[in-house]
Amino acid sequence: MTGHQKHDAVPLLSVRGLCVRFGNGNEAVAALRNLSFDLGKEKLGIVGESGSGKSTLGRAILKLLPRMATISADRLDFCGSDIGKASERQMLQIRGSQIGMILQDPKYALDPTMKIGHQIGEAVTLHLGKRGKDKKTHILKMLDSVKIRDPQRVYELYPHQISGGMGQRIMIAMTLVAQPKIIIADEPTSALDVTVRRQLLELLDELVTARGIGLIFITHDLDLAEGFCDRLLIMYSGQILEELPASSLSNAKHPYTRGLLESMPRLEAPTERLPVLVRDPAWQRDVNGSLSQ
Amino acid sequence: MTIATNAIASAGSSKLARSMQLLLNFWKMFRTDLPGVVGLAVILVLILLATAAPILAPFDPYLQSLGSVLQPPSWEHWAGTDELGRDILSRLLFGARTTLLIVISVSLLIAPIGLCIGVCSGYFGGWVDKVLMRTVDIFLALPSLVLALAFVAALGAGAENAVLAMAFTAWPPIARLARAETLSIRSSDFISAARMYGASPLRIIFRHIVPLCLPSIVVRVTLSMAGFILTAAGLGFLGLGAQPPSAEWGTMISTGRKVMIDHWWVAAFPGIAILITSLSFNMVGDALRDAMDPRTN
Amino acid sequence: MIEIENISLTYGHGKSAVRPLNGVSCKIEKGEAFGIVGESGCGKSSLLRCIGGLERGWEGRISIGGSEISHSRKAHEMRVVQMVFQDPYGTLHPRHTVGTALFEPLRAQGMPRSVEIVEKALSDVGLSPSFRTRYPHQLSGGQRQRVAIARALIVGPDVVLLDEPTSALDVSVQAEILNLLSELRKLKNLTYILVSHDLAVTAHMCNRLVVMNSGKIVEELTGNDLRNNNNHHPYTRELIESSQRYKRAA
Repeated sequence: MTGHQKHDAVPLLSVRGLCVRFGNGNEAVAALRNLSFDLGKEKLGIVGESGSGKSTLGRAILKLLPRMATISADRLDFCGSDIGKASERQMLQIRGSQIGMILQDPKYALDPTMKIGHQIGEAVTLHLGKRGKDKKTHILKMLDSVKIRDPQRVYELYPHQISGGMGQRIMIAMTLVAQPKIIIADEPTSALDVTVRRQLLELLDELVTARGIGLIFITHDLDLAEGFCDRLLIMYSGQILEELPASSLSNAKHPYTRGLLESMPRLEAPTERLPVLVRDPAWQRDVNGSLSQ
Repeated sequence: MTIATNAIASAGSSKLARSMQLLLNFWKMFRTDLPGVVGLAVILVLILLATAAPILAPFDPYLQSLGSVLQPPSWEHWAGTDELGRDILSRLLFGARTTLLIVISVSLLIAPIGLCIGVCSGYFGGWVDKVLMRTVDIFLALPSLVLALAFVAALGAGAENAVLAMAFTAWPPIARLARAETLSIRSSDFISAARMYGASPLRIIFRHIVPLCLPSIVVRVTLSMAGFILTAAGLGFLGLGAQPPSAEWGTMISTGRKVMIDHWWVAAFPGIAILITSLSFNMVGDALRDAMDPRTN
Repeated sequence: MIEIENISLTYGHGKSAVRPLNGVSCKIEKGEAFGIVGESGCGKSSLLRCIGGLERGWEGRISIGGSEISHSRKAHEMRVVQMVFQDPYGTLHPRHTVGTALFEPLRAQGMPRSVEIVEKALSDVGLSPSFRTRYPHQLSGGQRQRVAIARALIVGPDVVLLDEPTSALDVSVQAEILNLLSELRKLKNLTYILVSHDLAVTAHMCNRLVVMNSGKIVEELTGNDLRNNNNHHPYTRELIESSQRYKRAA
């Protein structure tokens, strides 16, 4: 990995040789193979198709994988300290407060029996220790910061009474309460309509840039990643195939990236037949040359 | 048409291999659940003992020997003798036949009835659903043992009527479950697709919906079996189940009750048999539920 | 081929009534690929389900191939219109092999059925005959969608309704499926109605499309109108703008 990080000396997150295997012994499947990258105060896009390991990567950083998974890494440095060796207790401190996560569908992430305000309130009490009136003003401020027009009203609503876009705003608000240094967003806009998606991306962009948060944006949508992120990692079968600045995606060199770009129908360039991606088995090869599952 | 039959035959053979594979996978899941395996082993042993009762039983279960009444457990009579001098162990072995037969008959009666009513109710919806579900509600509102009592009282006591009475009160929960399952399956795209290519409602119900409902029904029925054993014993105890002199665990406790203080073994051994059997069915049911739950796969 | 006049659909009564469709009219020519775009809840899927005969409670007039359609159709009337669904995981019965999934429609229609017909249907959608004995959980998303297309086509329909057929697939697989659908339309002279939230996909597949919003058609466009930004309704404009690449404010 060369040629990134212009702005700061110590990256927020530095990953070297990250491997994740599911199962054990001969039946083990490598989900991530020897991944290395740095994250600064930037929007880093992790782009890949289903099964590329992009979601596993997001969860591996937080060590949120099922028990059958083994994570190993030469280094997993978060703000200079190695979380690769952190215990579950230490990870509890880091998750949520230092590294936040936004998932695809807010429907499953919000407690259906609890008012929105109270759910954010739990985070406020947990991370900031605020109580009573102080707490409520902070919650309303958070709701306001994610551009919810009528915070007083939304405070009293239950999750089923709000739309998907609103739910995702609330998820962002809850994540931001603890003022995390890194946010991992796993397909945060895939469940939303296009018009809502745009507003949400604008909001996320604004908040992340203003607070100097490092954002890992996991998506399958190349177009979206190109427009939204600063830098992209293209993943295929658990490895990083290509790393490039988002602005130069159209000049991508790897045949896989090029193939993905070409296979998308485009409004401005109508064709009879879409070019189909032909997968080269060589893309699956390890850095050391052995073919792996 | 012959080609089609061939095709179905060849599909059938691969289907067999496929079901064997499924069964194997299922066993792999089931095997990890120790209580379930123990329960299954107990039930299998019990079935074996019940079928081989005439060979295994040391004495004739009906043979009265007034010279040796109420003998405590000894090398001759492992579980002692009852107030008519009959060998309790032999009676327990023959009683297992009655008990298992009652449980299996009730299960075989209620599973198809509950399944059909529940699936029809869920699939057709509307007034069909309303009528069937209100009927189910009425049955659920009546305490099952009391209803069974009334039923047996009306039809006369006996093992067959006990089976009918128990089946009469045990199908509504199955119907409820089948309906709930159907409601979630009914909105699937593959059901919409089947409706679009013109499959008849009956075909959709039996070819598409029922196979998907079956696992949870099987689990539910297995869990209910424990209850059936208790109900059968309860009816026997009240003198409304299998009639004397035929050996039945509940009846045996009932007669043993009179002499329980001085001769504990007369009531205790049938009691232990009931406990172990119903516990085994419960453990198997729990293990089945875990193994069939898609979330654990 | 299909004429739709003033279709409305209402769920529930009184205050809690929802109207997913509110007076929709359009005309679809034979052999055409017709697109319906809109956001979730705009009524595009409801319209498709009304045309397909999966909804019973609609009001208005639908005629297919010149004959008016009643609310409950006979099996042979259902054959004319088939549908491909969005979710590749829910579209196939989990306990039926691919072969069974393709036999069943033939059986329901009382059509001749044989291994050859099933294998032909599989090869039409680019799958080898060996897929006949497989179960859905052994297939990838793209392969499942191919089976779903084969199932729709095996009864020989005139109209195929496509409800977001590729939105759950990866882009590389989407390209394959879209190509396949285009080829099949030419080969079998099919009429397509494609419902999608993706303007680029719709413009690629369809010569003509309508934009729907809250149960109504707001505008009808050709593919070229869409490309040349030749639209009039503010909602269409908002939809097109949102679909364009996200550009940073800075």
